[in-house]
Amino acid sequence: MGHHGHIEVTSTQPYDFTSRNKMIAILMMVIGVVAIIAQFATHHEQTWANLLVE
Amino acid sequence: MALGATFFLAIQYVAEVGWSAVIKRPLEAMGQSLPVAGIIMIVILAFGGRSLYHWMEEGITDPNAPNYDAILAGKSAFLNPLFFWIRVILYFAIWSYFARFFRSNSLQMDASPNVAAYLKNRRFAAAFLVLFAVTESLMSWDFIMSLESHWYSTLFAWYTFAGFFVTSLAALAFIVTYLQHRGYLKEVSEHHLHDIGKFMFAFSIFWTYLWFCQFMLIWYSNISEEITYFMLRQDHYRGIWLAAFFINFIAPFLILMTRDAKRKKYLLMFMSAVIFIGHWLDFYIMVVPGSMVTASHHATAHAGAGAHGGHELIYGSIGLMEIGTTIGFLGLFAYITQLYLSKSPLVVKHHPMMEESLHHAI
Repeated sequence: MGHHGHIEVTSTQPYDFTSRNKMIAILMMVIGVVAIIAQFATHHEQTWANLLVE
Repeated sequence: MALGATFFLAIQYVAEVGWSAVIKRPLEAMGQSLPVAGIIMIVILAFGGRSLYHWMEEGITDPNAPNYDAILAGKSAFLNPLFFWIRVILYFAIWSYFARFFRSNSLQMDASPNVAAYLKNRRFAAAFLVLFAVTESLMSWDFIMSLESHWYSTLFAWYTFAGFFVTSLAALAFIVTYLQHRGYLKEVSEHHLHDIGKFMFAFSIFWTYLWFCQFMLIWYSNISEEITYFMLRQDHYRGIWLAAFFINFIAPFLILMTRDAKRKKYLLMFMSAVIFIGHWLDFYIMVVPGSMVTASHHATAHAGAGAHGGHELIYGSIGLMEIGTTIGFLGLFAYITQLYLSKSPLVVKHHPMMEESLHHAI
């Protein structure tokens, strides 16, 4: 059964990319960079494979 | 995830799908990661290619070289560095171009009812699907299957596709439910979520079908040149190999089977995370065992045992480093996707199928 009434489009505004979400995403990237550097320093044999998995 | 989203978007155009009009913006935003993914991939291959791919080794196709490999010499018309690089650049150029093209035409539909932009996307989507079929197959052979360059499987391209496509659907479900959680996308009803859930369920089963086809045929025929692939994984990566199978098959099969489950926002979000983890494990099991054999070979050669000397195999493992790397790439994907979601309205304002999508009910 479908809706028969008129449905208004309300999502006419863009998404608000908050500074909190930006910080979380950047923090995640920093964790990634640190992990890659640490891998090259410790068990570098698997680092390229790990990067390829991603 | 970005490539799978662009593929799904192209299907919506070619099949003139109505229900999905309200979720096209998240799909478009997901696809915008492709150029960055391409640059990262080129860097990985440029600096790590020789560590990953045995066939890239110097002299491997030269009959006079001590490390000559007759099998790889036979495959060198396809597996040679020049042709490989041309293909890699073409893959990402084609995928990135279409992802941008679909979005830019979609943005034109915001300004005014622009059916021409919709029809242009439909025509180009048809072309993209043909190119996708070719490039996705070649990509799976180039990037993954050639890690174990003596081994081959005729359904490997399908298998790879099923894995990354269901991950894209899981990411789409996560993004849509997250946006709803934040108070956005009120146009997306439980009927739309149900359809996304059905796709996740169906392609999880499709992946399982291919997993079993590949495994069963190789196990049954028991040919030495084929069985080595599974022996390596069963003997040394059994836990991850089995976990990938159970998470990717049993969990979606049991949890997403009912109608109600596919309509619950937070359950769908949870299952997206489960499917992501399961397919991450599956890609790990496709990539790491083979590349670690090549890495072991290099490690022994550098230690002075010589290319033909016996070498000890180094096995991969999953620890904080692997999890950290994954978190990093997820952060990058999340950043780019949110950035593009913040640049345009979350629903295409004058999409010709919008009324159908708003009234979608199953």
